[in-house]
Amino acid sequence: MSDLAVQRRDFLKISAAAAYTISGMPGFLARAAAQAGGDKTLVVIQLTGGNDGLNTLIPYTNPAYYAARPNIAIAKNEVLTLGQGLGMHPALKPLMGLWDAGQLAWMENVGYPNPNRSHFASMAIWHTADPGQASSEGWIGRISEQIGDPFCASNIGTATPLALIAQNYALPTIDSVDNFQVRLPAGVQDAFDSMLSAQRGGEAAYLEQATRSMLKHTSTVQANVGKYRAGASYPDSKFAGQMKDVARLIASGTGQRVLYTSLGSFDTHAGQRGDQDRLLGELAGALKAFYADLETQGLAEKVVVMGFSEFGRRVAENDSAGTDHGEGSVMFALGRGVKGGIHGDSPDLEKLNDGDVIYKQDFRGVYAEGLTGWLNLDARKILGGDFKGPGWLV
Amino acid sequence: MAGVKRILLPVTLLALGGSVLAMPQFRLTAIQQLGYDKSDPLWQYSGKVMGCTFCHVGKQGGAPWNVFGQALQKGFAASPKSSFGDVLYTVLRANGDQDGDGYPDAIEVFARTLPGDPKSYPDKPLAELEQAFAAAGGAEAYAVKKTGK
Repeated sequence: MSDLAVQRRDFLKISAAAAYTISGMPGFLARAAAQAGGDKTLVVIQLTGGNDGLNTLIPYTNPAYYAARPNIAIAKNEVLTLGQGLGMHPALKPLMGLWDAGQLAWMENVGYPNPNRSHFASMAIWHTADPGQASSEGWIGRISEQIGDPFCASNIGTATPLALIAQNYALPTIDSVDNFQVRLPAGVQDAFDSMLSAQRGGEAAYLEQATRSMLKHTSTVQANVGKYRAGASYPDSKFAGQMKDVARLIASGTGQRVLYTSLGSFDTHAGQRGDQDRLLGELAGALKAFYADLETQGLAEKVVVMGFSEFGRRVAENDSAGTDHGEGSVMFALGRGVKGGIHGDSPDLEKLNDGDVIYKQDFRGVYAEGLTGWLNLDARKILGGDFKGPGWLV
Repeated sequence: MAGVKRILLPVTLLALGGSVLAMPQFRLTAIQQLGYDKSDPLWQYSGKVMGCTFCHVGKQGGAPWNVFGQALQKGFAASPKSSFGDVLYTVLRANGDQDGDGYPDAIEVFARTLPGDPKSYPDKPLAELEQAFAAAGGAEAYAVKKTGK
């Protein structure tokens, strides 16, 4: 064997390493768009830790709310009133423009059967869309299987959520679009180039083709990302940076159908007002900038945002000016494709399940409408059943 | 292709586990704010770095709170819009000795003993610790650090 000749197993090993190293690449872009049968993007935002829905969408006309939360309730005169006795947390003021334009939707009392108050278990349920906890693959992973492309969705962050795990692979996580490039271990580049030049068959040929495709599209995406100029001023926060990266990927024409990112931690057991107020402010500021950016880029028609948290929090505050893990909560969505307004009724705080809001809307119904109505996919196949949604899309 | 699958999945699952098995935010905040994270690179996964008895009577947390935990609760009641970190700093800056063992709360934090348990106190003289504490920045070192990106 010559110095340049490499055994099949070594080629597979190095190719796999390269594939992992560049797993932030939304490769096979044109194929993804063509196979998906659409050019719309769903941006999913995970509010990690269990966001308190009652202090997000506030039932400010309900005396039971103030009785349960003597220290941490949002005062009536601070609430951003929306109607139906509900109003938004004042930190969400940057979103009032979208609300007034009919491009912001709130979904009330969202949850699932047999609620679980464990962060790990409940997040897994939302990620897999399986309250039975039998599935090991995520609902977005199943989207990629239906589309037939392992690069049709990406997470912007540091670790791939279960939602983006497919049966046999994990969808890419991008920690920084600026570092969105092929990086091989030191000293491997020359050998790798030589391997790519060799004639191969079978699995090796597939990997060679896949790697070439990723390299080509990486260059294209990098060039387009480099041309991106923000169409709005983003706040100086980590989450705003993530949303800006989402906008950059969309604007660079990656053709990805789902982009996922997270904000947290909303696990506000103690000192909730200080922490949740700040986090909701970060959320709203970044979303306002993101949407304004899309408007400037002429892409607002093509993108909707959907936000969730693994559970809400208990109705009554605890002794540390916080709230503990609860059940039903709120979801939100925004964009021109969204039917603005409040979907569902204000929670019944006189009729609780062991101190928690009782859910009325199964979250899989919200997913189903996004899959069918926005992404033009077979929701039944992805979610394993038919689920009625609140009608949050136009 | 099988090689890719074998490598990608374990790496991803490791990353997933790290992100979802973390401890509650208030505890992460306290550990970092008080510098307990510097003693253990795996502090986010260790229940020993700052045990529940820092604020609670029982090792599993929950009610009842010890006297230091009760001081925090009073802080929250007095200032319900403050963040956990701000209330923690306010209590430590007050230079109280909640458990009455002769060592102020902030000095106990500095010496890594429990400020809510009178049976837990430093083995060095108070004056010596106060001098070292002042040299290390005093209670100001426990103030919430403002972070941008």
